[in-house]
Amino acid sequence: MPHVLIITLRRLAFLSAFVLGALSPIFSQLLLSSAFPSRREIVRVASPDKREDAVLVRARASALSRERHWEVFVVRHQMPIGQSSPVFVATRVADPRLAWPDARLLQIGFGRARVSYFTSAWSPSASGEAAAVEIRLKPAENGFTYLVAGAGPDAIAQPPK
Amino acid sequence: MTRSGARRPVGRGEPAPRSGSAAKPPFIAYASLFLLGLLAAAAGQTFREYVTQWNQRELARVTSPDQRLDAVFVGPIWRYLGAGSALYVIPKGDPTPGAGGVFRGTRFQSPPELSWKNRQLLEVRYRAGCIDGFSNLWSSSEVGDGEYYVEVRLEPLSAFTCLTNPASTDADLTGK
Repeated sequence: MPHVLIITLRRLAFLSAFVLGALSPIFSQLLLSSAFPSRREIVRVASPDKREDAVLVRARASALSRERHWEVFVVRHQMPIGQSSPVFVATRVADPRLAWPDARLLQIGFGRARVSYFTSAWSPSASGEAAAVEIRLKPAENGFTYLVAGAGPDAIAQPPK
Repeated sequence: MTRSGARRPVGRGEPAPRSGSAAKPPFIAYASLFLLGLLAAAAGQTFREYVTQWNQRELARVTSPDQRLDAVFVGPIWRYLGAGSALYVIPKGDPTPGAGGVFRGTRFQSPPELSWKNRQLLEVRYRAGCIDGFSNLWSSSEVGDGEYYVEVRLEPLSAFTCLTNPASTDADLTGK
């Protein structure tokens, strides 16, 4: 093999090692989140104008996680979730509900939830230039919706056991 | 080079010096570069947080009833540099960090109304603004060894706080 080619390949290998190191946090996160994904569609509610669907999904976040997540996706009417990103991710959810008070407004209701991710807007295009949907959370209670208040006035509220 | 510093002439039959070495580099060289890449990624993240912290100014700070925590809403100094607005819960009096907020937001025309319903329940009321990356539970190892929790709830004061033209079927998020 020509000497120049060997040197070039070595330099590329060096560069690859550096790039691989720099990207390894992203790779490991992707690997953990996408390994053996398990999603089950629970309910699908179409918007009043039938342009979008809100989809409630039960999911296992990763192979390493035993806890089940609840996720909400907004997709084009009757389209699969595919690789789209959820607008709502929560654990320990009680009584989840999806409602469309308006064609452009999705309401995610719940009795109890530990919300780990929520975004208040969804758009079918990354630039946000196409028709969009606003999303809001509607917890059932006015007080705590996840923490459980302590027994006494000085007791601190804690997550449910 | 000879010991005396004079350049040794290349004799006939000897290979001419080349710009790169053909010797195989040891594995440790690749491993070091991998680690260097990892460190560069960490440094990049730290730099990003530093820029975010530098580019944000406090717009509202409300102390919890037990005087332990502050809820702090920040907005960007330079709108197009780094992240937008954010809400943080931090130990009382601490400076706002560049990461770990309760949410990040955009298009807030004014700071939201931050209201502690009790020492562990924070309510965020706002008329305009888009929320992203919201989490309704906060805890920190700096407060109560991570066993002290704060629940956060969002109270939008109008049906549409983010969309610019919700009545239209072409409602958008571009803020035009």
